[in-house]
Amino acid sequence: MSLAGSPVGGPAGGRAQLSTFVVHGHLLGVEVEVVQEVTRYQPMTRVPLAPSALGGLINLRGQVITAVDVRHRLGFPDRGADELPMNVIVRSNDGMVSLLVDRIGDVVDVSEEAFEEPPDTLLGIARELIRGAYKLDGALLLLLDVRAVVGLEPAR
Amino acid sequence: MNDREITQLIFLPAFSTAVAVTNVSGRGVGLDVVKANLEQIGGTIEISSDIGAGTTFRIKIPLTLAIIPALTVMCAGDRYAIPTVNLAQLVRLEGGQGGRAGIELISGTPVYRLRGKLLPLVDLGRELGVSEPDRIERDTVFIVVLQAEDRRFGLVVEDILDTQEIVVKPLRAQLKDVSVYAGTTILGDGSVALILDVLALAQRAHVLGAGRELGRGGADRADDDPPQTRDALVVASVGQNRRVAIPLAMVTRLEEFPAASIEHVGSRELMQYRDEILPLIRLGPLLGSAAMGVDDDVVAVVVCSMRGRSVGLVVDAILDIVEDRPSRRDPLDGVGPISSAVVRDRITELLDVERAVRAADPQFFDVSATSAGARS
Repeated sequence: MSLAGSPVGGPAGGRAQLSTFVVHGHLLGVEVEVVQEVTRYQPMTRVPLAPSALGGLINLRGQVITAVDVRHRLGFPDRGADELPMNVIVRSNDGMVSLLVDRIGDVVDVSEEAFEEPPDTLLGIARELIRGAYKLDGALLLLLDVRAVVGLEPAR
Repeated sequence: MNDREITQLIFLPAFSTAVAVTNVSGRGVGLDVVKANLEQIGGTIEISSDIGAGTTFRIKIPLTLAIIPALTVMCAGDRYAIPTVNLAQLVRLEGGQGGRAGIELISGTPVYRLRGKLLPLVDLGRELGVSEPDRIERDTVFIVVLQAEDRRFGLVVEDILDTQEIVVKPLRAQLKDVSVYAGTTILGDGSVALILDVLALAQRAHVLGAGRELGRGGADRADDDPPQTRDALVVASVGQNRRVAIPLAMVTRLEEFPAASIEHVGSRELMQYRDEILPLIRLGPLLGSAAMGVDDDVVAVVVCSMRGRSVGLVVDAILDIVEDRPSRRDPLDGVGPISSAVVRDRITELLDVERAVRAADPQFFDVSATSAGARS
Protein backbone atom coordinates (compact mmCIF):
# COMPACT_ATOMS: atom_id res chain seq x y z
CA MET A 1 0.00 0.00 0.00
CA SER A 2 1.56 3.21 -1.14
CA LEU A 3 0.06 6.43 -0.04
CA ALA A 4 1.75 8.99 -2.12
CA GLY A 5 2.47 7.20 -5.36
CA SER A 6 5.49 8.95 -6.74
CA PRO A 7 6.45 11.79 -4.45
CA VAL A 8 6.30 14.55 -7.04
CA GLY A 9 4.00 14.74 -9.99
CA GLY A 10 1.39 12.26 -11.05
CA PRO A 11 1.49 8.51 -11.28
CA ALA A 12 4.38 7.11 -13.26
CA GLY A 13 2.36 4.79 -15.46
CA GLY A 14 0.31 5.97 -18.35
CA ARG A 15 -3.11 5.80 -16.74
CA ALA A 16 -4.47 5.94 -13.23
CA GLN A 17 -7.79 5.84 -11.47
CA LEU A 18 -8.76 8.58 -9.10
CA SER A 19 -11.63 8.55 -6.64
CA THR A 20 -13.07 12.05 -6.91
CA PHE A 21 -15.10 14.33 -4.69
CA VAL A 22 -16.17 17.92 -4.58
CA VAL A 23 -15.12 20.40 -1.91
CA HIS A 24 -16.23 24.02 -2.14
CA GLY A 25 -16.78 23.70 -5.88
CA HIS A 26 -13.38 22.18 -6.52
CA LEU A 27 -13.06 18.74 -8.04
CA LEU A 28 -10.49 16.83 -6.02
CA GLY A 29 -9.20 13.30 -6.27
CA VAL A 30 -7.10 10.70 -4.51
CA GLU A 31 -5.71 7.45 -5.88
CA VAL A 32 -8.44 4.88 -5.77
CA GLU A 33 -6.07 2.36 -4.15
CA VAL A 34 -5.93 4.26 -0.87
CA VAL A 35 -9.70 4.60 -0.60
CA GLN A 36 -11.29 1.98 1.57
CA GLU A 37 -14.87 3.13 1.15
CA VAL A 38 -17.15 6.10 1.00
CA THR A 39 -20.03 6.64 3.38
CA ARG A 40 -22.83 9.08 3.96
CA TYR A 41 -22.73 11.53 6.81
CA GLN A 42 -21.88 9.88 10.12
CA PRO A 43 -22.55 11.44 13.51
CA MET A 44 -19.34 12.93 14.79
CA THR A 45 -17.95 13.55 18.25
CA ARG A 46 -16.03 16.79 18.37
CA VAL A 47 -12.63 16.86 20.01
CA PRO A 48 -12.01 20.05 21.98
CA LEU A 49 -8.44 21.38 21.90
CA ALA A 50 -7.63 19.38 18.76
CA PRO A 51 -6.39 21.05 15.58
CA SER A 52 -9.27 22.87 13.93
CA ALA A 53 -9.11 20.83 10.74
CA LEU A 54 -9.98 17.76 12.78
CA GLY A 55 -13.68 17.44 12.22
CA GLY A 56 -14.29 14.86 14.90
CA LEU A 57 -14.40 11.17 15.65
CA ILE A 58 -16.60 8.72 13.81
CA ASN A 59 -17.74 5.28 14.83
CA LEU A 60 -17.13 3.22 11.71
CA ARG A 61 -18.49 -0.21 12.52
CA GLY A 62 -17.03 -0.16 15.98
CA GLN A 63 -13.75 1.42 15.05
CA VAL A 64 -13.07 4.97 16.14
CA ILE A 65 -11.56 6.92 13.26
CA THR A 66 -10.64 10.55 12.97
CA ALA A 67 -12.29 12.74 10.37
CA VAL A 68 -10.30 15.49 8.68
CA ASP A 69 -12.29 18.34 7.18
CA VAL A 70 -10.83 18.92 3.73
CA ARG A 71 -12.46 22.35 3.60
CA HIS A 72 -10.59 23.36 6.69
CA ARG A 73 -7.36 21.86 5.46
CA LEU A 74 -7.45 23.80 2.20
CA GLY A 75 -8.54 27.00 3.87
CA PHE A 76 -12.00 27.09 2.33
CA PRO A 77 -14.93 28.59 4.27
CA ASP A 78 -16.92 26.32 6.56
CA ARG A 79 -19.80 24.32 5.24
CA GLY A 80 -23.28 25.65 6.03
CA ALA A 81 -24.95 24.25 9.11
CA ASP A 82 -27.51 22.35 7.03
CA GLU A 83 -24.91 20.81 4.72
CA LEU A 84 -23.72 17.47 5.99
CA PRO A 85 -20.34 16.24 4.82
CA MET A 86 -19.77 12.81 3.33
CA ASN A 87 -16.87 10.59 4.25
CA VAL A 88 -14.12 9.32 2.01
CA ILE A 89 -12.39 6.73 4.20
CA VAL A 90 -8.74 6.39 3.24
CA ARG A 91 -6.10 4.05 4.55
CA SER A 92 -3.09 5.82 5.95
CA ASN A 93 -0.03 4.75 7.88
CA ASP A 94 -1.96 5.58 11.02
CA GLY A 95 -4.95 3.42 10.22
CA MET A 96 -8.08 4.67 8.60
CA VAL A 97 -8.89 8.36 8.33
CA SER A 98 -12.03 9.93 6.99
CA LEU A 99 -11.86 12.91 4.65
CA LEU A 100 -14.93 15.09 5.08
CA VAL A 101 -16.04 16.28 1.66
CA ASP A 102 -19.13 17.99 0.24
CA ARG A 103 -20.06 15.47 -2.40
CA ILE A 104 -18.76 12.19 -3.75
CA GLY A 105 -17.85 12.05 -7.43
CA ASP A 106 -17.06 9.22 -9.79
CA VAL A 107 -13.98 7.11 -10.15
CA VAL A 108 -12.21 8.80 -13.05
CA ASP A 109 -9.64 7.35 -15.42
CA VAL A 110 -6.91 9.87 -16.02
CA SER A 111 -3.86 9.78 -18.23
CA GLU A 112 -0.38 10.96 -17.49
CA GLU A 113 -0.41 13.39 -20.41
CA ALA A 114 -3.19 15.39 -18.80
CA PHE A 115 -1.23 15.90 -15.57
CA GLU A 116 0.54 19.11 -14.71
CA GLU A 117 2.25 20.18 -11.52
CA PRO A 118 0.78 23.13 -9.69
CA PRO A 119 1.96 26.52 -10.95
CA ASP A 120 4.43 28.44 -8.83
CA THR A 121 1.78 31.03 -8.18
CA LEU A 122 -0.11 28.52 -6.05
CA LEU A 123 0.92 29.42 -2.55
CA GLY A 124 0.04 28.64 1.01
CA ILE A 125 -1.25 25.42 2.45
CA ALA A 126 -2.78 24.38 -0.86
CA ARG A 127 0.69 24.10 -2.38
CA GLU A 128 1.61 21.45 0.19
CA LEU A 129 -1.60 19.49 -0.16
CA ILE A 130 -2.17 19.56 -3.92
CA ARG A 131 0.26 17.56 -5.96
CA GLY A 132 -1.02 18.71 -9.30
CA ALA A 133 -3.95 18.94 -11.66
CA TYR A 134 -5.37 16.69 -14.33
CA LYS A 135 -6.82 18.71 -17.17
CA LEU A 136 -10.19 17.11 -17.84
CA ASP A 137 -12.74 18.32 -20.31
CA GLY A 138 -14.31 21.33 -18.71
CA ALA A 139 -12.71 20.94 -15.29
CA LEU A 140 -9.46 20.58 -13.44
CA LEU A 141 -9.14 17.53 -11.23
CA LEU A 142 -6.78 18.33 -8.38
CA LEU A 143 -4.73 15.44 -7.01
CA LEU A 144 -4.58 15.58 -3.21
CA ASP A 145 -1.55 14.42 -1.25
CA VAL A 146 -3.39 12.15 1.18
CA ARG A 147 -0.51 11.85 3.59
CA ALA A 148 -0.16 15.61 3.89
CA VAL A 149 -3.90 16.08 4.28
CA VAL A 150 -4.31 13.56 7.09
CA GLY A 151 -1.04 14.56 8.77
CA LEU A 152 -2.68 17.75 10.09
CA GLU A 153 0.61 19.60 9.85
CA PRO A 154 -0.11 23.28 10.32
CA ALA A 155 0.38 25.68 7.45
CA ARG A 156 3.89 27.03 7.20
CA MET B 1 -13.48 -25.07 -6.26
CA ASN B 2 -15.61 -26.72 -3.58
CA ASP B 3 -18.55 -25.18 -1.76
CA ARG B 4 -16.47 -24.12 1.17
CA GLU B 5 -14.04 -22.26 -1.01
CA ILE B 6 -16.91 -20.60 -2.83
CA THR B 7 -18.46 -19.31 0.37
CA GLN B 8 -15.09 -17.80 1.28
CA LEU B 9 -15.32 -15.62 -1.83
CA ILE B 10 -17.61 -13.16 -0.11
CA PHE B 11 -14.75 -12.19 2.17
CA LEU B 12 -12.72 -10.93 -0.77
CA PRO B 13 -12.36 -7.18 -1.07
CA ALA B 14 -14.39 -5.62 -3.87
CA PHE B 15 -16.53 -8.75 -4.19
CA SER B 16 -20.03 -7.60 -5.05
CA THR B 17 -23.22 -9.18 -6.30
CA ALA B 18 -24.79 -5.81 -6.95
CA VAL B 19 -25.96 -5.19 -10.48
CA ALA B 20 -25.35 -1.46 -10.31
CA VAL B 21 -22.78 0.49 -8.34
CA THR B 22 -23.76 3.82 -6.83
CA ASN B 23 -21.74 6.40 -4.97
CA VAL B 24 -22.04 4.71 -1.66
CA SER B 25 -23.32 1.21 -2.20
CA GLY B 26 -22.56 -1.90 -4.18
CA ARG B 27 -18.85 -1.32 -4.02
CA GLY B 28 -18.16 -4.63 -2.39
CA VAL B 29 -16.90 -3.28 0.89
CA GLY B 30 -18.52 -5.41 3.48
CA LEU B 31 -17.53 -8.78 4.72
CA ASP B 32 -13.86 -8.24 3.90
CA VAL B 33 -13.89 -5.40 6.43
CA VAL B 34 -15.66 -7.63 8.96
CA LYS B 35 -13.08 -10.33 8.47
CA ALA B 36 -10.14 -7.93 8.61
CA ASN B 37 -11.39 -6.29 11.78
CA LEU B 38 -12.07 -9.61 13.46
CA GLU B 39 -8.62 -10.87 12.62
CA GLN B 40 -7.14 -7.65 13.87
CA ILE B 41 -8.47 -8.36 17.36
CA GLY B 42 -7.69 -12.06 17.15
CA GLY B 43 -11.18 -13.27 16.35
CA THR B 44 -12.53 -15.49 13.60
CA ILE B 45 -15.58 -15.69 11.38
CA GLU B 46 -16.94 -18.89 9.85
CA ILE B 47 -19.77 -19.46 7.42
CA SER B 48 -21.82 -22.54 6.78
CA SER B 49 -24.50 -22.29 4.17
CA ASP B 50 -27.13 -24.59 2.67
CA ILE B 51 -28.85 -23.37 -0.43
CA GLY B 52 -32.51 -22.82 0.34
CA ALA B 53 -32.09 -23.64 4.02
CA GLY B 54 -30.10 -20.74 5.41
CA THR B 55 -26.70 -19.46 6.37
CA THR B 56 -24.97 -19.46 9.72
CA PHE B 57 -22.22 -16.98 10.58
CA ARG B 58 -20.11 -17.91 13.58
CA ILE B 59 -18.11 -15.02 15.02
CA LYS B 60 -15.62 -15.61 17.79
CA ILE B 61 -14.25 -12.58 19.63
CA PRO B 62 -11.63 -12.83 22.38
CA LEU B 63 -12.34 -11.23 25.73
CA THR B 64 -8.96 -9.56 25.96
CA LEU B 65 -9.97 -6.01 25.17
CA ALA B 66 -9.11 -3.37 27.70
CA ILE B 67 -12.30 -2.77 29.66
CA ILE B 68 -12.40 -0.24 32.47
CA PRO B 69 -15.19 1.13 34.63
CA ALA B 70 -15.86 4.76 33.87
CA LEU B 71 -18.20 7.57 34.81
CA THR B 72 -19.86 9.35 31.93
CA VAL B 73 -20.50 13.05 32.35
CA MET B 74 -22.06 15.72 30.17
CA CYS B 75 -20.30 18.88 29.12
CA ALA B 76 -21.53 21.38 26.52
CA GLY B 77 -23.70 18.74 24.90
CA ASP B 78 -20.96 16.12 24.65
CA ARG B 79 -20.36 13.09 26.75
CA TYR B 80 -17.01 12.31 28.30
CA ALA B 81 -15.82 9.28 30.20
CA ILE B 82 -13.78 9.55 33.39
CA PRO B 83 -12.02 6.40 34.64
CA THR B 84 -13.46 5.61 38.06
CA VAL B 85 -9.99 4.80 39.33
CA ASN B 86 -9.51 8.57 39.59
CA LEU B 87 -12.91 9.16 41.16
CA ALA B 88 -13.11 10.14 44.81
CA GLN B 89 -16.70 11.28 45.20
CA LEU B 90 -19.56 13.13 43.56
CA VAL B 91 -21.07 16.34 44.92
CA ARG B 92 -24.30 17.94 43.83
CA LEU B 93 -24.98 21.51 44.95
CA GLU B 94 -28.50 22.81 44.66
CA GLY B 95 -30.34 26.11 44.86
CA GLY B 96 -29.42 28.77 47.36
CA GLN B 97 -28.19 31.87 45.55
CA GLY B 98 -27.98 30.21 42.22
CA GLY B 99 -26.32 27.06 43.39
CA ARG B 100 -23.37 28.97 44.70
CA ALA B 101 -23.84 27.82 48.23
CA GLY B 102 -20.49 26.43 49.20
CA ILE B 103 -18.63 27.73 46.17
CA GLU B 104 -16.40 30.61 47.07
CA LEU B 105 -13.90 32.59 45.10
CA ILE B 106 -10.27 33.24 45.88
CA SER B 107 -9.36 36.10 43.61
CA GLY B 108 -11.68 34.75 40.96
CA THR B 109 -10.66 31.12 41.35
CA PRO B 110 -13.54 28.98 42.53
CA VAL B 111 -13.09 26.66 45.47
CA TYR B 112 -15.49 24.51 47.43
CA ARG B 113 -15.30 23.55 51.07
CA LEU B 114 -15.37 19.78 51.04
CA ARG B 115 -15.40 18.45 54.58
CA GLY B 116 -13.68 21.53 55.82
CA LYS B 117 -10.92 21.52 53.23
CA LEU B 118 -10.69 23.78 50.23
CA LEU B 119 -11.20 21.89 47.00
CA PRO B 120 -10.06 23.75 43.87
CA LEU B 121 -12.71 23.66 41.19
CA VAL B 122 -11.99 23.20 37.50
CA ASP B 123 -14.72 23.83 34.94
CA LEU B 124 -14.49 21.11 32.31
CA GLY B 125 -16.19 23.18 29.63
CA ARG B 126 -13.85 26.07 30.15
CA GLU B 127 -10.76 23.86 30.25
CA LEU B 128 -11.77 22.31 26.95
CA GLY B 129 -12.74 25.67 25.53
CA VAL B 130 -16.24 24.58 24.63
CA SER B 131 -18.43 26.65 26.95
CA GLU B 132 -18.70 30.00 28.62
CA PRO B 133 -17.11 30.22 32.03
CA ASP B 134 -20.39 31.00 33.78
CA ARG B 135 -21.14 27.39 34.54
CA ILE B 136 -20.66 28.00 38.21
CA GLU B 137 -23.56 30.47 38.17
CA ARG B 138 -25.98 27.65 37.44
CA ASP B 139 -28.70 26.56 39.82
CA THR B 140 -27.40 23.05 40.20
CA VAL B 141 -23.71 22.35 40.15
CA PHE B 142 -22.28 18.89 39.72
CA ILE B 143 -18.79 18.39 41.05
CA VAL B 144 -16.81 15.26 40.26
CA VAL B 145 -14.12 15.04 42.93
CA LEU B 146 -11.04 13.55 41.33
CA GLN B 147 -7.73 12.35 42.63
CA ALA B 148 -4.71 13.35 40.58
CA GLU B 149 -1.55 12.03 42.18
CA ASP B 150 -1.78 13.37 45.72
CA ARG B 151 -4.10 16.25 44.90
CA ARG B 152 -7.83 16.38 44.85
CA PHE B 153 -9.77 18.73 42.69
CA GLY B 154 -13.37 19.16 41.70
CA LEU B 155 -14.34 18.95 38.07
CA VAL B 156 -17.49 20.96 37.41
CA VAL B 157 -19.64 19.30 34.76
CA GLU B 158 -23.08 19.92 33.35
CA ASP B 159 -24.53 16.60 34.36
CA ILE B 160 -23.47 13.27 35.73
CA LEU B 161 -24.90 10.40 33.75
CA ASP B 162 -23.87 6.97 34.92
CA THR B 163 -21.05 4.54 35.40
CA GLN B 164 -20.45 1.78 32.93
CA GLU B 165 -17.78 -0.57 31.71
CA ILE B 166 -16.20 0.82 28.60
CA VAL B 167 -13.82 -0.60 26.03
CA VAL B 168 -10.80 1.64 25.68
CA LYS B 169 -9.75 2.41 22.14
CA PRO B 170 -6.43 4.14 21.64
CA LEU B 171 -6.09 7.62 20.29
CA ARG B 172 -5.03 8.21 16.74
CA ALA B 173 -1.67 9.81 16.13
CA GLN B 174 -3.31 13.05 15.06
CA LEU B 175 -4.62 13.43 18.61
CA LYS B 176 -1.55 12.35 20.51
CA ASP B 177 -0.56 15.97 21.09
CA VAL B 178 -3.83 16.68 22.85
CA SER B 179 -2.83 15.25 26.18
CA VAL B 180 -6.09 15.63 28.08
CA TYR B 181 -7.55 12.50 26.49
CA ALA B 182 -6.57 9.00 27.49
CA GLY B 183 -8.42 7.37 24.64
CA THR B 184 -11.81 6.97 23.12
CA THR B 185 -14.67 4.60 23.59
CA ILE B 186 -17.94 3.77 21.94
CA LEU B 187 -20.98 4.20 24.13
CA GLY B 188 -24.04 2.00 24.13
CA ASP B 189 -25.86 4.10 21.54
CA GLY B 190 -22.95 3.85 19.13
CA SER B 191 -21.63 7.36 19.62
CA VAL B 192 -17.97 8.02 20.28
CA ALA B 193 -16.94 9.50 23.62
CA LEU B 194 -13.55 10.79 24.68
CA ILE B 195 -11.93 9.40 27.83
CA LEU B 196 -10.43 12.15 29.96
CA ASP B 197 -6.89 11.81 31.26
CA VAL B 198 -7.42 13.14 34.76
CA LEU B 199 -3.74 13.73 35.47
CA ALA B 200 -3.21 15.68 32.25
CA LEU B 201 -6.38 17.63 32.86
CA ALA B 202 -5.19 18.52 36.34
CA GLN B 203 -1.91 19.71 34.92
CA ARG B 204 -3.60 21.74 32.26
CA ALA B 205 -5.76 23.39 34.92
CA HIS B 206 -2.63 23.99 37.05
CA VAL B 207 -4.04 21.87 39.85
CA LEU B 208 -0.71 20.10 40.05
CA GLY B 209 1.32 23.26 39.91
CA ALA B 210 3.06 24.87 36.99
CA GLY B 211 5.93 23.21 35.24
CA ARG B 212 5.64 20.04 37.19
CA GLU B 213 6.44 16.92 35.29
CA LEU B 214 4.47 13.74 35.32
CA GLY B 215 5.49 11.15 37.84
CA ARG B 216 7.73 13.41 39.87
CA GLY B 217 7.41 13.29 43.60
CA GLY B 218 7.49 17.01 44.07
CA ALA B 219 9.38 16.87 47.34
CA ASP B 220 10.15 20.58 47.10
CA ARG B 221 6.54 21.29 47.93
CA ALA B 222 6.38 19.11 50.99
CA ASP B 223 6.26 22.09 53.32
CA ASP B 224 3.14 23.67 51.96
CA ASP B 225 1.43 20.39 51.30
CA PRO B 226 1.49 18.09 54.32
CA PRO B 227 -0.49 15.18 52.84
CA GLN B 228 2.20 14.72 50.24
CA THR B 229 3.17 11.16 50.99
CA ARG B 230 0.78 9.04 52.93
CA ASP B 231 2.00 5.94 54.67
CA ALA B 232 -0.36 3.21 55.58
CA LEU B 233 0.23 2.30 59.20
CA VAL B 234 -1.12 -0.35 61.51
CA VAL B 235 -1.74 1.25 64.87
CA ALA B 236 -1.68 -1.01 67.91
CA SER B 237 -1.80 -0.37 71.62
CA VAL B 238 1.02 -1.52 73.85
CA GLY B 239 1.23 -1.15 77.59
CA GLN B 240 -0.28 1.81 79.34
CA ASN B 241 -1.95 3.87 76.70
CA ARG B 242 0.98 3.70 74.31
CA ARG B 243 0.32 3.63 70.63
CA VAL B 244 2.74 1.96 68.26
CA ALA B 245 2.52 2.29 64.49
CA ILE B 246 3.91 -0.40 62.19
CA PRO B 247 4.31 0.27 58.48
CA LEU B 248 1.62 -1.69 56.68
CA ALA B 249 4.12 -2.57 53.98
CA MET B 250 5.90 -4.85 56.46
CA VAL B 251 2.74 -6.51 57.70
CA THR B 252 1.51 -9.72 56.13
CA ARG B 253 -1.42 -10.51 58.42
CA LEU B 254 -3.20 -9.41 61.54
CA GLU B 255 -4.11 -12.42 63.67
CA GLU B 256 -5.62 -13.33 66.99
CA PHE B 257 -4.46 -16.56 68.54
CA PRO B 258 -5.53 -18.40 71.67
CA ALA B 259 -2.87 -17.81 74.27
CA ALA B 260 -2.63 -21.57 74.77
CA SER B 261 -1.20 -22.03 71.30
CA ILE B 262 2.01 -20.26 72.29
CA GLU B 263 4.79 -22.76 72.89
CA HIS B 264 8.07 -22.17 74.62
CA VAL B 265 11.57 -23.13 73.55
CA GLY B 266 14.09 -21.94 76.04
CA SER B 267 13.28 -18.32 76.73
CA ARG B 268 11.70 -17.82 73.37
CA GLU B 269 8.04 -17.95 72.54
CA LEU B 270 7.04 -19.68 69.31
CA MET B 271 3.90 -20.85 67.68
CA GLN B 272 2.95 -23.07 64.82
CA TYR B 273 1.56 -20.94 62.08
CA ARG B 274 0.79 -22.09 58.56
CA ASP B 275 3.11 -25.09 58.73
CA GLU B 276 5.96 -22.94 59.93
CA ILE B 277 7.33 -21.92 63.26
CA LEU B 278 6.60 -18.30 63.96
CA PRO B 279 8.82 -16.63 66.54
CA LEU B 280 6.89 -14.22 68.74
CA ILE B 281 8.12 -10.97 70.19
CA ARG B 282 6.13 -9.24 72.88
CA LEU B 283 6.34 -5.58 71.96
CA GLY B 284 5.31 -4.29 75.38
CA PRO B 285 8.23 -5.69 77.38
CA LEU B 286 10.60 -4.98 74.49
CA LEU B 287 9.68 -1.32 74.50
CA GLY B 288 9.91 -1.05 78.28
CA SER B 289 6.25 -1.18 79.14
CA ALA B 290 4.90 -3.42 81.78
CA ALA B 291 3.71 -6.65 80.24
CA MET B 292 0.01 -6.33 79.98
CA GLY B 293 -2.49 -8.80 78.75
CA VAL B 294 -0.26 -11.77 79.37
CA ASP B 295 -3.09 -13.54 81.09
CA ASP B 296 -5.55 -12.92 78.28
CA ASP B 297 -7.03 -15.91 76.57
CA VAL B 298 -6.41 -14.39 73.20
CA VAL B 299 -3.31 -12.59 71.96
CA ALA B 300 -3.28 -10.09 69.12
CA VAL B 301 -0.38 -10.65 66.76
CA VAL B 302 0.88 -8.52 63.93
CA VAL B 303 2.65 -10.89 61.56
CA CYS B 304 5.49 -9.09 59.80
CA SER B 305 7.81 -10.44 57.22
CA MET B 306 11.19 -9.26 56.07
CA ARG B 307 14.03 -10.92 54.22
CA GLY B 308 11.88 -13.98 53.75
CA ARG B 309 11.38 -14.46 57.49
CA SER B 310 8.21 -13.97 59.44
CA VAL B 311 7.91 -12.76 62.97
CA GLY B 312 4.86 -12.21 65.15
CA LEU B 313 4.71 -9.02 67.15
CA VAL B 314 2.44 -9.50 70.15
CA VAL B 315 0.51 -6.35 71.01
CA ASP B 316 -2.29 -5.64 73.43
CA ALA B 317 -4.79 -4.71 70.78
CA ILE B 318 -4.85 -3.77 67.14
CA LEU B 319 -6.55 -0.40 67.00
CA ASP B 320 -6.71 0.83 63.46
CA ILE B 321 -5.17 1.03 60.04
CA VAL B 322 -4.57 4.66 59.09
CA GLU B 323 -3.26 6.37 56.06
CA ASP B 324 -1.41 9.38 57.20
CA ARG B 325 1.71 11.30 56.71
CA PRO B 326 3.47 11.18 60.05
CA SER B 327 4.31 14.77 60.80
CA ARG B 328 6.39 16.54 63.42
CA ARG B 329 8.87 13.83 64.07
CA ASP B 330 10.80 14.08 67.27
CA PRO B 331 14.28 15.34 66.35
CA LEU B 332 15.92 13.21 69.04
CA ASP B 333 14.82 10.04 67.34
CA GLY B 334 16.84 7.57 65.43
CA VAL B 335 18.59 5.79 68.26
CA GLY B 336 16.35 2.90 69.20
CA PRO B 337 13.72 0.93 67.36
CA ILE B 338 11.21 3.67 68.11
CA SER B 339 10.71 7.16 66.82
CA SER B 340 7.76 9.28 67.68
CA ALA B 341 5.47 11.22 65.41
CA VAL B 342 2.02 12.64 65.38
CA VAL B 343 -0.37 10.29 63.65
CA ARG B 344 -4.01 11.28 63.56
CA ASP B 345 -3.50 13.95 66.23
CA ARG B 346 -1.89 11.60 68.71
CA ILE B 347 1.71 11.04 69.48
CA THR B 348 2.45 7.59 68.22
CA GLU B 349 5.58 5.54 68.31
CA LEU B 350 6.76 4.45 64.90
CA LEU B 351 8.30 1.02 65.08
CA ASP B 352 11.34 0.12 63.04
CA VAL B 353 10.49 -3.55 62.79
CA GLU B 354 13.94 -4.73 61.81
CA ARG B 355 15.61 -2.94 64.68
CA ALA B 356 12.98 -4.20 67.08
CA VAL B 357 13.55 -7.78 66.00
CA ARG B 358 17.30 -7.39 66.35
CA ALA B 359 16.84 -5.98 69.82
CA ALA B 360 14.77 -9.00 70.79
CA ASP B 361 16.82 -11.64 69.04
CA PRO B 362 20.22 -10.53 67.72
CA GLN B 363 20.67 -13.77 65.82
CA PHE B 364 17.34 -13.59 64.08
CA PHE B 365 18.67 -12.57 60.70
CA ASP B 366 21.71 -14.78 60.90
CA VAL B 367 19.63 -17.82 60.29
CA SER B 368 18.89 -18.17 56.65
CA ALA B 369 15.32 -18.24 55.55
CA THR B 370 15.57 -21.76 54.17
CA SER B 371 16.52 -23.35 57.45
CA ALA B 372 14.12 -21.29 59.47
CA GLY B 373 11.49 -24.00 59.57
CA ALA B 374 13.91 -26.43 61.19
CA ARG B 375 15.20 -24.04 63.79
CA SER B 376 13.88 -25.82 66.84
